[in-house]
Amino acid sequence: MSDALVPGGTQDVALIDLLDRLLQGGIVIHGQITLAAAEIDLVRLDLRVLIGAIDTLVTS
Amino acid sequence: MSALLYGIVDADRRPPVQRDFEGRRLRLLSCGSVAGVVGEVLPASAVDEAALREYARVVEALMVEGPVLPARWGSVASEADIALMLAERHNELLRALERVRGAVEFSVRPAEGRVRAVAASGSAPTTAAAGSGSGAAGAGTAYLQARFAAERTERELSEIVDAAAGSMVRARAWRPTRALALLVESDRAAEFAARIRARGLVLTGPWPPWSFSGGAR
Repeated sequence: MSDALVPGGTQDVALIDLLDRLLQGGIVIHGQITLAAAEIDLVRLDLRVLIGAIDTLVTS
Repeated sequence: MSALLYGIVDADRRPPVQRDFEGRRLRLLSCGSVAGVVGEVLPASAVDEAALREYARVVEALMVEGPVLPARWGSVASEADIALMLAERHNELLRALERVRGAVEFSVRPAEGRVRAVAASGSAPTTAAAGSGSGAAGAGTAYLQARFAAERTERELSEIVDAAAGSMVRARAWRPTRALALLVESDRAAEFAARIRARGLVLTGPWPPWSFSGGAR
């Protein structure tokens, strides 16, 4: 990796972008790996609600 | 014993120096040429925004040391099951690592005002049919308009990126957050960022290749 390349500052990005990456991106291991707890399912739900809200904002 | 999977890396890289939520060094579970980076499982009661950001920060730190396929948040399994997964999907994971080797992810979206402008122009051909947008037909039309606007935004962003820095882009993917994810050559990342910002687009990154790790399965 180039010296000029500093990782993107995850601490600074909007939560919506972070959630999009962590909950919609990345490797998924079907069947053998499950979400850790019900609380994480809530985070997933929140993400869908947030994305729905953004869609509404953008198209209104 | 259950473990939290952070990502998949080359098996021959040096052991990670990053630490898990318990403050312990992350470990490598190797299988052939690939390895899973694992740590202690975070108690569900401790899951909050800070924990998500810490998880992302650790994956970023792994990226700095070499190619990584990030694991989706919440990938918890026994170490035996993770080892089995590595064995069963070894060649697929190896190919995915090669796809992202020497590359980083950026996210590009229009500035806020421009999103609305694009959305408005995208919906123009069907505005008359949409009426007030009330009722079932209105909702369906609004949905189609939104999809049309999103596709138009994606197309326009792609055209701008191609004109500004197309040769640096290895792959692209449209995100549900209405941003264009781009896999960019690492050694040209700074130049890429400068060119995109000069076009007035909003840029985040470099990220680990969250959008280019092989997708769901």
